[in-house]
Amino acid sequence: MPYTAEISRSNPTSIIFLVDQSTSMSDPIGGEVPQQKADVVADAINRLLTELSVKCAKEEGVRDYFHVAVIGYGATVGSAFAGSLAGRDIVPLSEVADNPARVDERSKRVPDGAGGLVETTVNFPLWMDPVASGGTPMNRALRYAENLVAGWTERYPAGFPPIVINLTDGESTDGEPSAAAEAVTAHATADGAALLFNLHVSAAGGTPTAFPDTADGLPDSYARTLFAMSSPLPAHMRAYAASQGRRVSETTRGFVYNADITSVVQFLDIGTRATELR
Amino acid sequence: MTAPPSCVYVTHLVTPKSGSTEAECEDAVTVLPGCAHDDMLRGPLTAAVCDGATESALAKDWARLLSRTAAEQAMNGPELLLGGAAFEAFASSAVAQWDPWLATYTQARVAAGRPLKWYEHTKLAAGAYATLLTVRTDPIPGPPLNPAPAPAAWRWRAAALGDSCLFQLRDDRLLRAFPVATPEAFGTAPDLFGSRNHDAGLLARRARFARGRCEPGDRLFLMTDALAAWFLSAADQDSAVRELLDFSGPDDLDAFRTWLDGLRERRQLRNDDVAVVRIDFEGR
Repeated sequence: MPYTAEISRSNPTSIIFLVDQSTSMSDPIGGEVPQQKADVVADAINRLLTELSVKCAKEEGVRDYFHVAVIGYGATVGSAFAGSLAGRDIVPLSEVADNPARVDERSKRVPDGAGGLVETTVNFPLWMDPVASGGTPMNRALRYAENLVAGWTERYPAGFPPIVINLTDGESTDGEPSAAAEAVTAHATADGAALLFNLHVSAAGGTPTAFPDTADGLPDSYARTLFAMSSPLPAHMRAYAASQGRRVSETTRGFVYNADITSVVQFLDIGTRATELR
Repeated sequence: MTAPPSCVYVTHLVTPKSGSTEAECEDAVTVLPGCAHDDMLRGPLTAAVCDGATESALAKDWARLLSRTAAEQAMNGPELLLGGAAFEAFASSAVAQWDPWLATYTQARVAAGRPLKWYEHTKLAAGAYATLLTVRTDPIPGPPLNPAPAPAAWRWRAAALGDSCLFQLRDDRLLRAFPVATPEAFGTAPDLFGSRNHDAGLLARRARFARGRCEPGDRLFLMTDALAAWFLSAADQDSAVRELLDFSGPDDLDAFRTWLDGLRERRQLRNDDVAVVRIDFEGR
């Protein structure tokens, strides 16, 4: 059965984030508090890396169940890590966790233990800053990712296949990206084909949606293209999504439109989940 | 003719998943009274098995604390295995030990020049998590003046939260499984006992309780989920029992590990830490 390989330190998998850093990412998306698309994707990356690090944290450090790349594409295509990881492609998660470019403090409302909420300050590590410059060479970025995926599947031919997560406004300027996307998912391990998920940040309006099973209702051709490029969720991810109250079917895809993508980290199975009784 | 001696033997084995070290094993077992595998026990016995959740930090420490507390308190007050207020009191006392333990641990890390990292602060704020399975057995004396005394029997009571399992065997056949009865019921999100769950009422409501009677010749096995799932899914359960019975004491640990590795290689056993407690009721 595909997508059932154990993810462990001896059989890790890789997660390759592709981050659109083109000039169009300086445009705002709608919503109650308008944000630049570049801020949205940078925030998403920093939250994803935080969630991954915490998920794999043990008392001796973060375990390298995952190796991570953050590839920016805009004026150039390459590593988008800031700080001491700058210039590096695939990095073991423990190194990522121990080397954020900086740690900001942000206020957060947390339960006060008596049924209310209280504002507190939490550390918010940052690995990349918002960038908006140049065109949107999505084909180049996907080819870059394909190269990393090919290397990984050769190194771990029996492991859980790599996952590529593309965060973009969808406005590719170097051609239609579907063929390059198919090239990424053509690589496979014995456990299954590489997965490609997409986060679409857009000013086109419409209803934010996460992990839909149809392109109906998506607002424009960019969204529909990205939906079609996205891999169907493997069975265990669908099962977890369903357990969290999401409506899923066999055609549910790894696609998010103007919504929170960090929940994808919870789809990853590294062992018994640490969840409070409800 | 003299009746054979009625007694209980108990032994347990704990081993980490393939690829992990002994120190990383997050399954914990406490058996009371502390005894060797060949000691003949004639009084009450308690055993607790806890399986720390992979996704939580310090899960092994919480599993150890929880199993020790459960076995001790079940020995001192078996009513906790009936649920209700007694179980709530036990749950509260276990949780109350965590924050002081964590404060000591945190100070020790600072003293060692390894203060907690940002991700540990985030993770430990949620607490640590483990399953819990506790059992107590008590001998039921036979009639003292019966000239041909019936073999002794034992009463057992158990409490479980999550998917660590108790199996009762009679004539080396499965008589009862608790709290999980089918291999399909195992998953990656079992109910867990959180080290910061101060809702003792919720813990008591979600815990499952069972009781039974053991005859001479019966056995109880307590297992964490991976081995329990293998046992319940075995195509030939008689053969599975025979394989398990090859391991009867700490000297068998190496052979036990080799056997588990073989099951893993054949993809019959999920790669996970394994804990097993075997209780043999003698006197037949």
